[in-house]
Formats: sequence, structure tokens, C-alpha cells
Amino acid sequence: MNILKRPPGDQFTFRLFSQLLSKVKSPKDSFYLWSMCFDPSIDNHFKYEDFPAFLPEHYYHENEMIYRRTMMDNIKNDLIILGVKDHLTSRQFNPLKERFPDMAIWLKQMANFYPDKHIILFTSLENLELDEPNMDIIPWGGDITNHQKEYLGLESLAGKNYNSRYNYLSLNRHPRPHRIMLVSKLRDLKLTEHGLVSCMFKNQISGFEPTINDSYEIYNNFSNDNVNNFKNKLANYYKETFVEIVAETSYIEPVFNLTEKTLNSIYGKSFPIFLSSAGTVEFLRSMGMDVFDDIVNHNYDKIIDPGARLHRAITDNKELLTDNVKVKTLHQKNLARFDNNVDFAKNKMYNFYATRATKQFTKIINDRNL
Amino acid sequence: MTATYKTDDSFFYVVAPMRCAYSPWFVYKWFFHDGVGRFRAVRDQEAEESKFTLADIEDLYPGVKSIGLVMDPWARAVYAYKEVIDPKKPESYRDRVKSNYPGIDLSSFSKFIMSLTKFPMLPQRHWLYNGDRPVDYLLRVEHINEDFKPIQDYFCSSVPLGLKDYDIGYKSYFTKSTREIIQKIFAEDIDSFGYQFKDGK
Repeated sequence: MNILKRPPGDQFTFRLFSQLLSKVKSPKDSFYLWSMCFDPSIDNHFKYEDFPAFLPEHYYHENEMIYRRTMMDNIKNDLIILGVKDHLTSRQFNPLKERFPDMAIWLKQMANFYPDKHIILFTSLENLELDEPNMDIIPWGGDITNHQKEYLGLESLAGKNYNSRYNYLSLNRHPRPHRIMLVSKLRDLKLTEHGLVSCMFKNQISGFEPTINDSYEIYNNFSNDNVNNFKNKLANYYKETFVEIVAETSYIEPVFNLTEKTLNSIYGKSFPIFLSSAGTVEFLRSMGMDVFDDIVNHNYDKIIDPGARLHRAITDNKELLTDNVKVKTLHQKNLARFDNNVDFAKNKMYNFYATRATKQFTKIINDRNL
Repeated sequence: MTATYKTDDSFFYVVAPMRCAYSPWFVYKWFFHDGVGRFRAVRDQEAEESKFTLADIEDLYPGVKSIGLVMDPWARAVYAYKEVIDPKKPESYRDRVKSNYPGIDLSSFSKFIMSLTKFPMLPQRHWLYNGDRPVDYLLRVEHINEDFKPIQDYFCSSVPLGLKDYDIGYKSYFTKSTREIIQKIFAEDIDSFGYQFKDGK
């Protein structure tokens, strides 16, 4: 196994990858990597000696060429197994021109480059289909599985402030197109006064002032410390709000990577409206999560057009976002369901991902006698 | 022919017993300096923090090649004592050790060793063996450069380990009886790893 690069807190998939590889008897070349290894926009120059000793493997000079060469130098067998963490959308992705994220195209090209080899790809993305005859694709859970140990030890929100004047929470850090669209939509519909809204790109949106003053300094240990961010910061916002507009990482693409944003919403015990790729709500529902279908109107989930989906997600749930008395009453009535979702996040979710990946992988190696 | 990274796709994990003078990071640093090694080293934050044993690691990572750090049991006892009583460490650290190990007497080295009979440190074998099978590569910290050579050979690497062979010079710390206590408590380690009391210093 070649470990090209790992994101922080990836033990769930890293261990799973190692365990699944051990089932393969055929000679193989296997690579575990963070998708940024082949992100064309990455060119980092770090000295890992400058950083604290623990888990520093992502601090050295790196760019896409280094990893590409490492992979090509190590591909010798007819079976290639790739474990790729994180989304496949680089900053160069143009949704107007391309159907699939640009880094997924890189994988497609790889399959074409090695037409006589069989590739098994584990991916953080749901719905990824590359239509390559020599490539099997197995989803193994998005970044929502990261920091498993820390999240298992995290106490969910103890209680809400039922005197709060706010209905909803909307957290917007990285300026992705759907977050810019969302904040603009909240402004245009005059909904911002009903929510706690952060926006790290407020300069790009005229006539809007965020109600949460966010900053980039949320992680103090060179790692994505999502659990401490929840405990120290986000929990305060969840306490004051009852609905969350979860602006996930993926939105425009048909494939999606569920992340800690969805998980935080569960631990924060809010009714969720998901701004994510079409079909996300259906997927979460099929996993066993209670998406509060009787309270939140999720009809937007089936709409493919990104603009129309966002518009419906907000307008169909306008009452939930503005009626302060109603949302609190609904919340109080459904406390047990929020606890059930926390139980889902702590147990069933990991089992779902591990079982599904294992089942699909086992079928492939049995069918192909690998 | 000895396996090298060119013909073998193994990956490597470093196991260190509790109270070992060198932590896994000391060895991982070499991996991250080596052009090939850096792609073959497994780090697992939970496993390192919780001091997982070889058996735990092999359960999590089937097929992993293991590197174990081991040290002379007498040197380990001196190292453990000095670690706790180190004047640079805050008093609260010592208090925490005392509260976690109420049977331990830190008032002198001899008393510390004698108190180990009531609350012994686990032998290093606990971490470095899975049943009767030891780690694949055993690195004695006192001879770490020599013992590391097979790993450098595996990676066809000339990158130096960058560590000194560990030598704490422990003879003067021991009396006949404290020396024998270590001999008795860590008989398993002494036998498994071929250590004997160094009279030289």
C-alpha cells in the first residue's frame, strides 16, 4: 500500500481501506490518498520541521506532479486499488462546461491510460459514475466519517434557548457559489433578521451584514479540529437557533460529499434544510436519518437546476425560517427525534458506510476472482 | 533475495511500549524524510495516543509490517523515574502520576524500584509481541542505528536515521537488590530481547 497523503482525522476510512485490501489475493497496486494530491491548483511549500510533531505528513513541498509520478512509478500489476478521500472539485471546475467535477475527469483519464488494468476506486462521493468499463466505483462515506473517535465522544447540544429571537442558522465560510447565492437570497427575501448568519465573503455581497462575526482562526493546531470548533463556537449558535440551512461542500455537481456540516447539524439538534447536490436528502433518508419530512418541506431535493433548487429550499420553508413561536413549539415536541438522530450519527451511520463498502468490494473481488 | 520496496508493497507501523525513551515519531521522522518511505508509513493518532499493542495494530491493519522500539529494562526504569521527577516538569505532573499510580514511591530511585513490586510497569513484550510472534523489525534504542539498517536496505535508502544510540548510563543508580528487582519483574523482556545488566558504566 502506498499512502500518498492523508487528511486529518481519516482513521475510519484508512482502517477500512487496510482491512479490505487484506481480502485481495491477487497482486495489486494500492494507493490511499487525499484528493488534493491531484488537485491541479495545489502547489504547497511547507517544512514539516516547522510544525508540531504529530501527524505532520501533509507539510512538505508538494504538487500534483509529485504524486502523479509516485503513482505511475508504483503501478506494476493488473489490479489498481485507489482509496481517495474528499471531494473531486477543484477551484478550476466550471459547472457551465463540465458535468463531472474536474478531478473526477482525471480519474477517468487514468482509466483510459491503463486500459488493460482493472481499477477499483473508493470515493467520498455519492453518485459518482464515470462509465469506464475497467473501473469499479465504491462510495465509502464522505468527510462526515472523519474524526470518528472525537465525534463519538462529543456530547450533543444539551438544550436550546427557547427565549431566542432567532429561527435559523446559516454558516458560510468558504465562498462557494451556492453559499453566495444563499446569502443573496436571504438578503433579497428579507430573511436575514430571523437568523444567525455568518459570511466570510461579505464584501462580495452588497447590502448585507452578517449576524455572526466569523474568522479564519478556528483551528489552532494545524488540523481540522471540527469537534472543538463545535464545542467552543458552533454550539453557541445552535443553542440560539432551531433550523439550520446546511450549506454543504457540494451543490452544483450531481455527485456529493457529505461532511461535518451535516454532522454538526445533527449534534446541534436543528431541523435541517440541505443545500447540497440533488438527492442528498433522499440519500440521508435511505441511510436511516430522520430528516423531519413532516416538518421540513424537502421537495427541493429532487430539483436538478441549482438556482431553482435553492429558491424552493428557502421559499417552501419560509414559515419555518420566520415564525418564531411555531418553530420553537415544533422543536419542543420533537426532542426525542433529535436524540434518535444523534444515535444514528454515533452508530448506524458508520455501520452503514462500512457495511455498504465491504459488501460492494467483496462482490467485486468474488465476481472477478481477485 | 531480501525484499525491498520495489518488489514488496508493505506498509509500516511503529510500535513503542509505554515509557520508552524514543517515541514512534522519532522513527516516523525518518520515513517522512525518505522519498519512498514517506508513502509507506502508517500513522494512527488514536493508536499512538492510546499505546495500542502489536496485536491491536495487526487487527486494524492486516498485513502491516511492524517496527518495535525496545530498551534495556534497567535503562527503562531509570528513564521512567527521571521522566517523572524531572525538575523541569511541573509539580502537577508528579501529582498526576502519584494519583494514577498510588503505589508508586517517588522519594528516591531505590524506593521507586521497590514500589514497582507492588505496581509493576508492564513488560515491553506486552506491546511488541502478538502471541508468540514479535514485531517484524525490532529496534533496540541502544543500537538503533545498527538495527535500523534493514529498514534502510528495504527502502534502498541512504538517508540517515538521525538519532543517537540511546545510553543513559544507569549502573550507578542501582544497588544489588534493586538490580535484581528489575531482573525479576522484567524477566520476560530480558529473556525475549536478550538484555543483561551493563556493568560498564
